[in-house]
Amino acid sequence: MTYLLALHLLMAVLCVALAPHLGSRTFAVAALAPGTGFVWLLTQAPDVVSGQQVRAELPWAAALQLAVPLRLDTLALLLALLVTGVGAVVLAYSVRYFAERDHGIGRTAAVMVLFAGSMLALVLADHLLALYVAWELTTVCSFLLIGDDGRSAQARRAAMRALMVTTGTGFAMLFGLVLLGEQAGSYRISTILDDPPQGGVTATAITLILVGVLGKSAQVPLHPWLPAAMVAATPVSAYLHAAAMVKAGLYLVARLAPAFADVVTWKPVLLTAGVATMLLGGWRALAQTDLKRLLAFGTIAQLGFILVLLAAGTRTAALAGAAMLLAHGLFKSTLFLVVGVIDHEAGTRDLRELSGVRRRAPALAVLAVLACASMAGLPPTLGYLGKEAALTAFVAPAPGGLWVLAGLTVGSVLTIAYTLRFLWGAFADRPGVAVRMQRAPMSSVVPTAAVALAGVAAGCYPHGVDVLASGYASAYPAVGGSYHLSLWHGLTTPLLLSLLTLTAGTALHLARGPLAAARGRIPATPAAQTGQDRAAAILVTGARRFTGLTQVGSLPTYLVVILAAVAAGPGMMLLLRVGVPTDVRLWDTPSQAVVVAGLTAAVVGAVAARRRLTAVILVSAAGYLVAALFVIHGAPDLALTQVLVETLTLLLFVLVLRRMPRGMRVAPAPLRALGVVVSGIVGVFATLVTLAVGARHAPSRSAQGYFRRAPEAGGTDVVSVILSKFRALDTLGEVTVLALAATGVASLVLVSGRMGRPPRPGDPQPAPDQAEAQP
Amino acid sequence: MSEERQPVSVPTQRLLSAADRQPAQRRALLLEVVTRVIHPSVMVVGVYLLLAGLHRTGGGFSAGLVIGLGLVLRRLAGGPHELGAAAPAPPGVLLGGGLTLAAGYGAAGVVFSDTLLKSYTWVLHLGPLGDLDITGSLIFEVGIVAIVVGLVLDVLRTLGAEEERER
Repeated sequence: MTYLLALHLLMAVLCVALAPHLGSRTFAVAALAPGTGFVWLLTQAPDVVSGQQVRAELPWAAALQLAVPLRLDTLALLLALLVTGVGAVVLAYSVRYFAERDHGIGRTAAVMVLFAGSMLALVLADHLLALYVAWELTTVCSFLLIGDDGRSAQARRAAMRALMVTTGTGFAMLFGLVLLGEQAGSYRISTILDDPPQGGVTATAITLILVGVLGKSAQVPLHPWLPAAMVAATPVSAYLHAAAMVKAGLYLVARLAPAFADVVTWKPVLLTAGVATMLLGGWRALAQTDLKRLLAFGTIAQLGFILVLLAAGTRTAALAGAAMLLAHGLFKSTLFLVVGVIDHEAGTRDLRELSGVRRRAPALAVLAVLACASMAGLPPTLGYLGKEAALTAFVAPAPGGLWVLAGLTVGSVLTIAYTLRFLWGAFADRPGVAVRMQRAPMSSVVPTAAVALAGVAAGCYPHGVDVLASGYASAYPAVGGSYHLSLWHGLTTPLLLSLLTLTAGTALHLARGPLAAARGRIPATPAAQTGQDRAAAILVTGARRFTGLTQVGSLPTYLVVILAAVAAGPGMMLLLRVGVPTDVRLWDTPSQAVVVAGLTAAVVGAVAARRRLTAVILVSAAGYLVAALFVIHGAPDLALTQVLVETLTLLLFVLVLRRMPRGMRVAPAPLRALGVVVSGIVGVFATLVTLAVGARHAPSRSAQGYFRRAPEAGGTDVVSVILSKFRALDTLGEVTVLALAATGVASLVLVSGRMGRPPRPGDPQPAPDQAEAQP
Repeated sequence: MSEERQPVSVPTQRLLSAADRQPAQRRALLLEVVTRVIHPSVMVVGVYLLLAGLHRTGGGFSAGLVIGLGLVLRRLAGGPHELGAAAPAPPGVLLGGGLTLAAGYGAAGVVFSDTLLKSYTWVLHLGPLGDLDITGSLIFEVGIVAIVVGLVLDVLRTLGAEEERER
């Protein structure tokens, strides 16, 4: 499993490298990562459904007892199959979808693969914090995918909104996860579930986690980011809606439900939110004219539905939830891919401008009908199996009361109505509308067919999904006989309810004309959407203000802040822990006293100097005198370097000062006073540090080692040997900092290319006005 | 710039290859002559410090600084164009190449184990000048020289651009 995650990471890097050569065929290569995962998961499936868990552990920081444990059980398998399977299909589909695009291919492919990888890590993680990291990785990936290259303001806004909602609620979830982990005494999810903690703190923890779930799975009232995210490319939307991102919240509910469904806030929050979301999503879907937005609201409704099932806490409901999770992944990805083809080949996805699509692309129509059958819950599809199980679960001993059943029934009516609306919108002939649809290319239809047919196949062979879903549902006790997914249960209440919803839904679709008129008379609801936009705007403005407040752009201010921090932090520490050194020798040789006298004179002169050049030369003089001190101490290497650096600095100063006014501007008195105080404190601090460091007179053990081993290492000058051999890594780090600093400074000042050279004799002399125009 | 418009005090013979590309009033005869005379020696001192590093005072860092100082001298005496003529390569190449050399040496030590790199010591017999040890770590030192020279060059170029702008 660890290798599987590593494969996704490597593939993402590879995609960036390959994109310039392969173009959109990069996606085909990218599909290999989730594809491999899918095949591997299939090979593990027999073991897993028979009850054996596959475990792996990614050791990380053993000293902190941090590791990333991975665990593949039935629930993880179900979602992992969905994530990898749909991921591979969507990536294969992208080859054709992005064929005409010439920029950002590598970026999109890499982020998609990373997205699949993080989602896989999320369902496999057996550690609360690892789960959180994967959770936020999917958020970041979705932000990058929705925002695309950031050229469109609409995409940026949608990405910002998705990021804000999901990280904001994710933050609440992090609190919840930490609380839960501390309460349980372990962050291992399997350990926590085996022995769930009780009590008020746990209830708080679970409630906080549920906030994260509601945000991630786009439940009322946090849903508006999902339809807004429709600005993303269709394959991205398909993956976002069908297998990744929004499924993360459902996964977490499914994971925690067996242990925590009886927590006091669990059912009220989740059942209410789920039912409300199902109704609102369905109702809003009926009003959409953009096919993609129609599907987006449909997704919101379906997410609400599945949330209710997974949260109910009974075996049959869990069975239904697991089946619906799979069904939704398959039919929703199919429908998005169908819309992608229509959008691509007809140039629009507005149902008022579409006509004749069925005649031009009959195969596409068949696939859409199959997926819609699953969405509406018609036999023999996976959606039918799930819906029957769902209704059964809430008919007999209804968890949460009959109102849930009523809500689900009304929701199903809406589902059937918007399913019909989708089919009618995409494939009906409209008189007077030009037929713009081109032929659907095979390279798009084949991946679409793969997911569409998988849904039907799973429906025709209920046993396969039943084994998978029962494996998860067996976490609950079987009450009143164990229900199994099957195409025919006899003439039962759920079947009658199904027929009722089918009839009512069809009627609702046929009455779309009067309905639209009625909708126009209902006053507009206070849109949660504007609220989220406003919150995002406030966040951005606030960040900008804060930056403006702290980054004032004045060098003296920065210097004062830095020095004050040094004096306050390490200075205080030094004073409290080490104290003032007492055994101070004045000097070793009198020559030191002479040098220091000169040094003091130079420093005082530099402070008192009225001209810049004088001040700089006096500072340099102080530097050279320090080098003299080094020589007296017997450190020629240090002295050499000091002299060289001092010379270089002096020359550079001269180079700059030629261009500056001679005199110095006198700062206002309060600033000067502040400067004096801060310099005084820092001076005292530096003196104390020097005394404390110099208080030790015995050579350290490591120093003796250096001296002993220097000849073996091939040199007799111990300083050079330390720099280039013993502590070569330190040296490398230091020169890296040097290189970065040089690059940073040069990049700031010279906006032009980094690789440019200074002008050469052969270069044409730039005209004066051009030289002026250069930034 | 034509011959007859130059002041008499400016040398007509080329001491530095591009010094005549700066305005006549900014040229300094003495500085140009001194630079012409001592610049090669500065470079030799730099190379000496690099090679002597293992046994005597010196090393890659000081060698780079000395070579960098030589460049500063050329820049001061001859202006920005002279710097371009003196620079061995663009600063970006020097910084990147130096980092690659130094890090590559370290990485090679990890991959092939230290012994391989350590065991290679060539001793050059230079007759009256004595023996010169060339060890694997010289690669590392050369990398550091390149980085330091690149840094100096980058700073000079940046200040030069600043100067151009103000002019």
